[in-house]
Amino acid sequence: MNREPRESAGPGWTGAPASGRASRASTIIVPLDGSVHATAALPVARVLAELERATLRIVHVAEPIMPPLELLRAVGLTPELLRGSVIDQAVGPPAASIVRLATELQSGLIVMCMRTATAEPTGGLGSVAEAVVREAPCPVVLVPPRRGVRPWTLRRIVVPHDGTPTTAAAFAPASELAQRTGAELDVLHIAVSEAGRPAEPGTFTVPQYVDQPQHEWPEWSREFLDRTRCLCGCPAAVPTRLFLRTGKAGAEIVQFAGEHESDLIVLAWHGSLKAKRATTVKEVIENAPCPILMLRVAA
Amino acid sequence: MSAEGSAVSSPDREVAGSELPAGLARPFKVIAFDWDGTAVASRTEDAGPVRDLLEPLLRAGVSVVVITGTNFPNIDRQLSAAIRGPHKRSLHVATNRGSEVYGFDPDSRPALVWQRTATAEEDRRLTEIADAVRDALVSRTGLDIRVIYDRLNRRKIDLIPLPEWHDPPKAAIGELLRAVQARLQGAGLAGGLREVVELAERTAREKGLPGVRITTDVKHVEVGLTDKADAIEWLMRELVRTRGIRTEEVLIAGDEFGPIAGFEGSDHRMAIPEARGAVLASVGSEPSGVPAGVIHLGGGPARFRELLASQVALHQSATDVAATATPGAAAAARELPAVPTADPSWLLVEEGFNLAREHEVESLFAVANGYVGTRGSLAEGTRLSAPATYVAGVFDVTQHSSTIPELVLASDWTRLRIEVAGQELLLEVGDSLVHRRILDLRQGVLWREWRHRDPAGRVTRLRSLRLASLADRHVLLQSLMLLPENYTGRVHLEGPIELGAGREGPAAPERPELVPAPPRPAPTATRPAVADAVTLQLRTSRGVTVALALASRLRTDEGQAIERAVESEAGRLVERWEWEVEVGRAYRFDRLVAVHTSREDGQPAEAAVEHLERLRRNGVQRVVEAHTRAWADRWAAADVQVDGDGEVQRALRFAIYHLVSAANPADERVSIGARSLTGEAYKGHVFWDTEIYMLPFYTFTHPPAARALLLYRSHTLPAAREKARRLGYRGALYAWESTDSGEETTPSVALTPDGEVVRILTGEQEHHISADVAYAVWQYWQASSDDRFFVDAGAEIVLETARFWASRGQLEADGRYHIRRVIGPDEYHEAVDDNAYTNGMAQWNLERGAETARILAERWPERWRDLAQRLEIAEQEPEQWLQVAAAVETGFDPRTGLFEQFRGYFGLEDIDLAAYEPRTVPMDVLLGRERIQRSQVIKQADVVLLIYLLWDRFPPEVREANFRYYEPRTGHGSSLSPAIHALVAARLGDVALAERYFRQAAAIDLGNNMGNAAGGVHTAALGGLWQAAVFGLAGTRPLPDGLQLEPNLPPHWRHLRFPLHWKGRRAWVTVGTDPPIVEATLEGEGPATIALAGGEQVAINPGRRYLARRDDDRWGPWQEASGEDPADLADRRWP
Repeated sequence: MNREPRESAGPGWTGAPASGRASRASTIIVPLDGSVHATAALPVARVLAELERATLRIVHVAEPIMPPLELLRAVGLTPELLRGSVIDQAVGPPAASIVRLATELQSGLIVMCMRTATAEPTGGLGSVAEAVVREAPCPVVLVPPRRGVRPWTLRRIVVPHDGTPTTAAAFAPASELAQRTGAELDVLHIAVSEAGRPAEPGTFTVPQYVDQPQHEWPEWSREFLDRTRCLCGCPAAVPTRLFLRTGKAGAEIVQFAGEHESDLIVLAWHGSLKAKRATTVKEVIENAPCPILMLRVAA
Repeated sequence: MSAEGSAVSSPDREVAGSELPAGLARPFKVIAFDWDGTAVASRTEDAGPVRDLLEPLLRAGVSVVVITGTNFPNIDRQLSAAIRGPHKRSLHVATNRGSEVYGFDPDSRPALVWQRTATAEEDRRLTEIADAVRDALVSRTGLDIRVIYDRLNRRKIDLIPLPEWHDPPKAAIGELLRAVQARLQGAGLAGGLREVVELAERTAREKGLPGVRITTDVKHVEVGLTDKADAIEWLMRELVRTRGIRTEEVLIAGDEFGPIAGFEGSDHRMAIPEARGAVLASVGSEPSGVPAGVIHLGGGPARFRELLASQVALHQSATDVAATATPGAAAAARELPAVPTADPSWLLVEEGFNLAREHEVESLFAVANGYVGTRGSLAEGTRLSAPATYVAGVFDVTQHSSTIPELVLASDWTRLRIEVAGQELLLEVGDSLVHRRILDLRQGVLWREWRHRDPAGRVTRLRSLRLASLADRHVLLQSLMLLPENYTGRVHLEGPIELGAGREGPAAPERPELVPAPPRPAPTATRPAVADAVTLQLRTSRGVTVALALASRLRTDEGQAIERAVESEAGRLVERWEWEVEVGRAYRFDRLVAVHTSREDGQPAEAAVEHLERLRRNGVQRVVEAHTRAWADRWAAADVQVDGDGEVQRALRFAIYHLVSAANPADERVSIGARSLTGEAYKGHVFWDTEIYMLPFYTFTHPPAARALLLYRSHTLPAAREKARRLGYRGALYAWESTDSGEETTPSVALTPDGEVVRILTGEQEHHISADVAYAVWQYWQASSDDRFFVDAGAEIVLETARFWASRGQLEADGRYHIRRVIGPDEYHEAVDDNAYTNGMAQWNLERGAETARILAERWPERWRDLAQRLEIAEQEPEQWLQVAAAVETGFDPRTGLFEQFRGYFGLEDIDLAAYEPRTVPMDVLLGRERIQRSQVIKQADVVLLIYLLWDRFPPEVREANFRYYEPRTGHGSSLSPAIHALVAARLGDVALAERYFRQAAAIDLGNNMGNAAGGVHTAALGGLWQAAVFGLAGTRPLPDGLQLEPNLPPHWRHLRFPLHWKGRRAWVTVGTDPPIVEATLEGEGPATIALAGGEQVAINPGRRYLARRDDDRWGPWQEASGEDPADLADRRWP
């Protein structure tokens, strides 16, 4: 009597029910600082905005206030490239201004480049991106600068899953994205050798006992996917596969995404990037070959 | 005695007021009390207030024993006649000063359950003694002294047969004493009452009646064969020890424990040695104080009623674990046909609701009886629910590509849908103020308590039970009580019955399901259909029919039936009730189901309908009572009690619950799948798990179940012979995985989560299962002396498996017999040569084959001739088996004392597993398949298992050396491994390591976040846990003529106590740690030998207790416990 999760009305970035979103105009914010790297966010943002039927709100934080054409030039766009989008200028500290705008507009998503300074083409998050990720009222898609402005499509989504119910539930937006685009969900569980098993009740990790692999592994895989689908509301019609890896989680995720040509990595994280915290998240950001959807879960 | 109280407490120290002392502030399981003077002031008093307090205790399952000197009709008139209902079965009345005990049948009618019957000679002597005493008194005093003869087993000498003292109340005892003394002393008997008693004792001795009891209630001096001590002895024997109740859970109340006028009080006799540990309390005035250990309450019958009232409250708070009980909730709880067990050590409780854990909970909370099993799914379902009912032995293949038979999903009979004012009651909608699932291990019942508040604020209380009858294995029952707490309104109840398995949606697994069978012929006119019944007839693609007949009924709390509608929808039938509920009233739904299949009935649908008719006639209550009685019987023969570790106690009872639930002694054509009937993992397939890990439990606690399981191997011999033949061998090679026919059903490939397709070789190479089956046959025969089984079935298995081993290997140039290309229990290493376990067990099997031939030829020559002819066993063949056995390569190195697990093992990479700890990931996942095959890391006990199974074949230093070598190299990637390591570590005396492995084994299903249990419980690991406790920590080893014990308990396990069936008798063993002590008793016919390792051996006789103590690391001699020697029992605390 499994109750099949309901079809959703839209991607639902914030995880809010479809009925709750109907009354407001959906927006996706793309901060551009005028750098070449920043524009790497645009192809990704445009696809997501189209899926969401959302308006793309390009925001440039600078003073003084500029006339429209100057503003376009400042971010490296032409009037033609702006078609279907809105450009805003904000003043003040960049990260705080972006977060404020997202809050005011009740935006569903912020899509931005991980780092835009030419001096930091590789490595972790830029200071603005880091502050936005930390403070954003909505999920954030981080785009690696090296992917440039190539067109982006969504065919394979990798969902690294530590087996906790909290993480599974956080994947609802990813599930809805997959449902909307027909993309495949690759659920990736990494068995860690150290005693790092989460203590959250209902956590389901790699089995401690594999009495007979011909029975245990199919049952375990089915159970893992059943729980994940159920908790994130993913309909069974969404093609979902489970993968098991061992080793360091961050490196395994990056390697998996590269090997499987993943278009999006979905990370559930607890909102802290302090030293010695979120080592997996940091490692994935550092080396990700594709955009990352950051979904914050309660600590 | 209880530690409460001092040596003698004076009257002014009696415990006053309504506060009861701590020793009484806990729920007792057995409450025994004196009647006259304790419960009532007189035998003419209205006993209604006492009865009102006793009835809730009886309903809560408390055993109540009334102890009285009078006869049964007097007590029945005053108390018991007015009690009616199933709870009355918990009441007993011990009458006539311990000479007889009455119980009550299911119809509340009294039945004599025990009686001390005097011989004619004893009767004559009693009269002679009483007459002689009377004559002597009359002669000395001239008083009117009379003898009352018409009393069972006693004579009463009335010292004051005056009208004013015809029936003195207990309260007037002081006045009575003065009157009696004045009468006797005034007539010249200076010693008064004491002199009369001494005269009676002297006369009894002179008349030569041993064991005669002389007592006095002041008015009379009584000469009898029994007294209240006999009533307590009966109680301890029949209600306490056989039910596994601890003496601390027994309350004995009276009013005369202390001396009166220099004589011991009448209740003093209730303080017998067998009741040491029980709590004794007196409500009498006790003018001379009470003996040590008796709690003096005083206050008479009124105080006794306070004591009962506190017990009622304590039991209700334990029973009604819904802490938020609202007024009327307790009454509503009683609307169900039983109540949960109060003792938390018998309960597995899942509080609240965690959707992610649902599949695990469904497995752990399954109810089953070996014939049918149902997972503990929520009736209304959730997004993750996977309800399932399985019928043992009903297998089918899926519609998909697989040709491997799997246990079939039967129709879901548990589904219920409830709407209150149009709002469906769901855990995920509204608030669950209370939600709790309780697996009642003792009664074999799944309880659920749920208080739900819908978004409009309507609060609905629901309680339900579910069971698979252990008394009548074709029967399933679901009961639900619904109580609207704060509203009156319309409720809609719907019970859909799927014609298939009942799982919906694309998430449904690709599992074989039953499909509707073609319409069956209409029932014959001679058999009326059952009112309100629904019958389903379903079948597998292989032609097995499963029929379910269901009768559902909904009633108000006044018993008024609510009308039902039945509709047929696509693929299912739906029963519907719609009615107006009233606030505060309870409504009860019962659904009885009878299940029959074409495996045992030619006309399963008819059989199910007829069965349901019988059930309906007898009623739901009878079903529940028979079921709980059956469970009580099984627990009496199987419970392992641990005093000192509640977690271990619960884990052991959980294991025993699922083991009992898994077996059906009535069906010898099925065995137990790896996850029994609790889940669909492992497809219901049968492995060596049954014989090596589960069977010892049945052999030693329920031999009929063991016999049936072994007969499954007998019936599947043809398939085992065929497998051997197909692979080019002789004899019988059992399938590594089997279902109903015994044919090999092991999948040939496995798909790992990495997408890697791995070839599975166990079906081709894991051959030790044939020796494992033979081992189980032999062990059962040795333990049961069931010669009929051995001659008719077991011997053939041993012969055919021995013959297989004689053909499996080759005598090679080195003069050794090598068995190549096998997989041992350590399945990390495939296609190995001379696996130590396989070869060791093969050697043993060959020897037993030759021994079987010899025994048959000597004891049953005709059977031997038949078998030898049919199996074409040549005359010299058994001798050849012995020669092969002697030549089997064992891999043993006498220099090191080590067995090499297989040829070349010692040369593999030695990986330090400690470097990976703490670890919860299997080593083959961490290291990868290829590396683990090149390493010494082993999956599970292999050589260590061999050491355990063939313990006596190896000297102590070899056991130790091999365990110490292989234990650190074992990755425990199998759930079978930890329990065996606990067992062997305990036998080697490494208690700390044994306890660590024991806890690991106990956590396999019960540990948090294990997840492994989602597909069903690990039944073999549960059997291993039982073995680890009984054969490991208690160190029990069966000997040819008895049992040997070598206990090594963790020090905080104060006691471990368990029963064992042995050659038609039942031994009870208690092991204590403080002081180190072992007690053994025997039930049944004839003596048995019991031995302590390093201590002496003794023949014990039924009905007696034997004790041995350990001092200075050595066990002392066995002594028969008299119960009178305070030294040997001084510190004894029963589990």
